Amino acid sequence: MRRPRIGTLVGLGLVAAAFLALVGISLTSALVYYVTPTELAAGRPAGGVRLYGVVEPESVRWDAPSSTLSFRVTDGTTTMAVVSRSLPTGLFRDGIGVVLAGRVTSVGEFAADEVLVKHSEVYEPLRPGQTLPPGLLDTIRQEAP
Amino acid sequence: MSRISPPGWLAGLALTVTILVGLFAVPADAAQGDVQRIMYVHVPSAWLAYLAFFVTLAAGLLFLRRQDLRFDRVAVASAEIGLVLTGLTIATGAIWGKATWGKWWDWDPRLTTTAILFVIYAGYLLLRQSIVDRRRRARLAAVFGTVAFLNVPIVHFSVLWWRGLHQPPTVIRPGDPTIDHLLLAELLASVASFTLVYLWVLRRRVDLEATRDAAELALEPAG
Repeated sequence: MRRPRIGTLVGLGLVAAAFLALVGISLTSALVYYVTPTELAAGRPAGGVRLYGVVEPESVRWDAPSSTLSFRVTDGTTTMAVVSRSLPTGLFRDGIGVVLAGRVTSVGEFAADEVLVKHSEVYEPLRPGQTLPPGLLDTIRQEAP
Repeated sequence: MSRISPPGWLAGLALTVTILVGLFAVPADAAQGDVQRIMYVHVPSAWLAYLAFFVTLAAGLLFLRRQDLRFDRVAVASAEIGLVLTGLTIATGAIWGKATWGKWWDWDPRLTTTAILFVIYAGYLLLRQSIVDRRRRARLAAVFGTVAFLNVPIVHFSVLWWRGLHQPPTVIRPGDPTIDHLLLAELLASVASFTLVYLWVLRRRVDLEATRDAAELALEPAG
């Protein structure tokens, strides 16, 4: 009585394992969290999309009257202009990776509703006397009249 | 009401000291500043959750082999602690994410697979609750615990297999960890403290389950 029951359980376990494996495989091909500027330029999706790129150095501009942030992101091959009215965290700076949620406008810019800042997996201690690199807000303050 | 044993005090003291050292003694991260200190709770929580679920897997397999309920008690105790630690991982990760990424939660592969992990082990505990027969409960839970563990490597590798918001591993990777060795020492000390707390809570929870089993046996109708 006991043996076949264990067999059934192991069978169920195998089915569940196969299911999980299938989910894993389908996720691999179907789950694309973000696209790169190059992929975006090739695809031109109509709706909302997440875009990942590195903030191109010296491209960040803050327009105070319209409260609009503009910058360019690049994947090394393709560069794309971005406009956003939502402010990223203090980690946002030249050369950092960002994930943008938004869409391509009619003029070919990327209008971002959301600017998320990726941080690296590298950790270095702040040396005595050293300060954090200036974030976006410091830049805005400097540029303010 | 029993008093806290010396191992309990030791584990609590170790945790308190490592948290204080992490908050005040080690330098802040050069890119992120003070918010990076949450790593000393976030990372140990995640690793100990992995370990706890591995213990549930191993104890479950041992139960299937030996048919000894002692192993099942270890399995359930470890799964409960693992669930709490997974919750702590998600909560501390949300705080860290809000400060650095700019968002508490996003459907990034690492976050999503971790949420699935939480739900799977909540399901493990629910399954146990639904089975009255003690041995049948142990047997089904062992099978469930074995299959459920498949998600743990998926969570770990999610940051390498798929594109996401969460950064790739710092320590559990081929080659030298990409963290300064002083900060790494604090991280490992924190992992050690969490391990002591885990072992102590596990021990107490197993004792509780044994008491429960004895009570259940005493209440069972004769024959």
